[in-house]
Amino acid sequence: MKTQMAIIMAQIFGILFSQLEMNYSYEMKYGDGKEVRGQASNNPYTTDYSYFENLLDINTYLGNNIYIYTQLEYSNPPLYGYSRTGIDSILSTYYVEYSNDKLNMKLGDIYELYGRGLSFYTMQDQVIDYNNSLKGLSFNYFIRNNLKISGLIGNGEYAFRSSPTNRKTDYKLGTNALFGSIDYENQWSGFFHYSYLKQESFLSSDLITRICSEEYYEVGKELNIRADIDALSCTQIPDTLGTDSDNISSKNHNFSWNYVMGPFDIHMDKSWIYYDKIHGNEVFGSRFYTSLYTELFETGITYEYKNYYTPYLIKSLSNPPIVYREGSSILASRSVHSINFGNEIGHQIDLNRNINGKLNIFANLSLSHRHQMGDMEPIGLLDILSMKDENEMYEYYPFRQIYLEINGWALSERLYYKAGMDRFIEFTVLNDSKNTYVTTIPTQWVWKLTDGNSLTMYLETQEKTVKQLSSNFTLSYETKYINNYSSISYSHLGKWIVTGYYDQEVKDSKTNTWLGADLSYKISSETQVSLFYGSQKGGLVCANGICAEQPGFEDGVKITFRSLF
Amino acid sequence: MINCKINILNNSIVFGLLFPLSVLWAGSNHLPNIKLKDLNNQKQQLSRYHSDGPLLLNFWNLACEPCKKEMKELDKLNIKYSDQGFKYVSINIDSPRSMSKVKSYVNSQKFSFTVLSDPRAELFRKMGGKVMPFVIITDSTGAVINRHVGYNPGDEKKLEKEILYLLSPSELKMDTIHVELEESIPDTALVKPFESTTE
Repeated sequence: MKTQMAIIMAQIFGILFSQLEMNYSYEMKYGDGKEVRGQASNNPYTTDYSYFENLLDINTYLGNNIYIYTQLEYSNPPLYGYSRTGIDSILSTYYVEYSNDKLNMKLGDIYELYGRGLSFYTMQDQVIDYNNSLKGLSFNYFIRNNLKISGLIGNGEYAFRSSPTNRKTDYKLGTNALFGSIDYENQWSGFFHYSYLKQESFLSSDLITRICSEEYYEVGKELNIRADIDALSCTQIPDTLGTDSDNISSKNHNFSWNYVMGPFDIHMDKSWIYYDKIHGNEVFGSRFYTSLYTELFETGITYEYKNYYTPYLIKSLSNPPIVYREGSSILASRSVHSINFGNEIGHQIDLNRNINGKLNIFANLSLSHRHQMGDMEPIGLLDILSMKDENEMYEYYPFRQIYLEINGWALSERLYYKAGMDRFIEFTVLNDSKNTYVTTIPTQWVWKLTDGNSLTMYLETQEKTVKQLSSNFTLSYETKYINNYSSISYSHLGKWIVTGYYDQEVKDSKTNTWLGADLSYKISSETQVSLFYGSQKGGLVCANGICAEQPGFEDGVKITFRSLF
Repeated sequence: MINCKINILNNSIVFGLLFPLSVLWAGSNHLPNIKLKDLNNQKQQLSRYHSDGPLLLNFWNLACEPCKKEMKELDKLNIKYSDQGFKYVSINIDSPRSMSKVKSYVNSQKFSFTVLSDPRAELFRKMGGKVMPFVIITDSTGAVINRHVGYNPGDEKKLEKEILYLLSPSELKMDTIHVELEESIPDTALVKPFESTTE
């Protein structure tokens, strides 16, 4: 509370005594309708559902050197997360920044990225209710133009979800961190970065019990095995293996190198991590990421590789690259790979080509699997590419996605078209084995009319097959879905836009339809309001491999208001 | 309990005063004095881009489809008006992890404008950005003249009018333009300066 008051007082003093510049960004979301629960089951049901979320970002500049960021939130309740209604909880994020030519310092909520985020990447994403920031002090100091040292000290509480379907975070991890890094670059040898992070995490006995009862990730499975040895249940673990809660220490060395050599842009990033198991000994883990970009025959080619192995570590301050494509299509984004940041190897190739300035061709191949552990049969890259012989591969949780797209302008640049094909296959073992096969055809059409009016259409279709297998890998049952999505928008002079939505799911000859209409009005270039009425199908919203499930919404109204001033 | 009540009272007073005070006292906004890296990893001072005339910045990332459509239109404006002192700089806010894909996309499109990277979206946030596409237009002093949120095909016509207005001789401009340009400036006032500058 004292810090919050200090920030606010600094702003008031700024207003009164300094050369001041401020800008504001306000966003209000309101929804009232019915939420569809248990969508995955055959018996979905609805409950009353409403949200009211208000966010006000205030940017304050005091002269040339001091900047204050403040985010105020009043939510009762928000789309995701906990309500903030009290005056003592309204200040959700803030930091004060001082910068000059050599030094940059921040005090407050720390959002930083070092290297590619293998060791440290704190960020906030309101859409998925994600925030892993620390409260503390960070600095960057340029000793020379090409030599920089950085440091950070802070603590925080990282709240996360045990399942994306939870509207609120249900796990909480206390963290203390001390970080230092050095960056050096020259034109002959490229850019070098070395950092050291010492982190302490505090796990409550309740959290440990819950982690133990989830065998999907290795950290839970391993705890379970230890419990089994002593014939204990998960609820008995904290008392038996340790004393109630646990403090986990980790030491993280990160080295990265970036070099541009002619047409090749190479980046390598490696983290060596020594960390404690929950109520256990220190073990070693590592993360490796590399990317290579080049241009051949006027085609941009990007290759990325990841190899993450910290199976018994709960990720909190890091956000390593996901190395697969997060699609922008409505239907394709409902089937996403669930990344395991603690145990995953993956490759991604991305091709990009423009032909005659009119036609763009884009292709992407992503695949991943877990490490070979224990008595698992070895598999090769070709097995993942072909995605056959699933019986041999389940424990690897293999995933493969192919995406092809063409887009461009035609008819004297009045028509924009985009057509894609997305093929997604994933095998998982969660209680029983499950194979998911999804083929999506997303298209988009924009027709420019006269006087700045335009018509935009999204037409998408998807075929999805989910095979559920029994413990001996025989088919238990198979579910087929056909999904169709379309929307059509008319924009009149860029002032108001009216949109109609149609979303249909055919599952085992049973059809569900969601219809909605939206009217958006641009009050000015900086202020707009939109009103939605109808129903919307729920689905996953993902960013950087972290997902939250947007609940289904029926017979309701949504209002969104955004303004900058 | 008493402390709690005092805190609530303090906060109420502070917030009640802070908001209207700051709205009333806040002056015009300027681009901060900041350096951003280009796609070749070279640091560039943002102020150098508005020293010769009006500057248009647009913030985008790879996942933003409307941004890509807008950039194609803004590229045409950049080519059309660059010899009159206008500059368009595109600011990508993808994290450094996506930089190779950003390079691949930008190179394939053969754009005429400069692309800078704001990898932690700091400038985006400092300028009040919340959603993309987000456009800022400044004059040659770096003062923010207008901001635009969102893009629909056809919106580029409004942006062109604003650019033309800023490129027009100063005597033809109104005393203050820190108002909604598209609302306040009649079409004729926007077209005439352009005609005079191209003669």
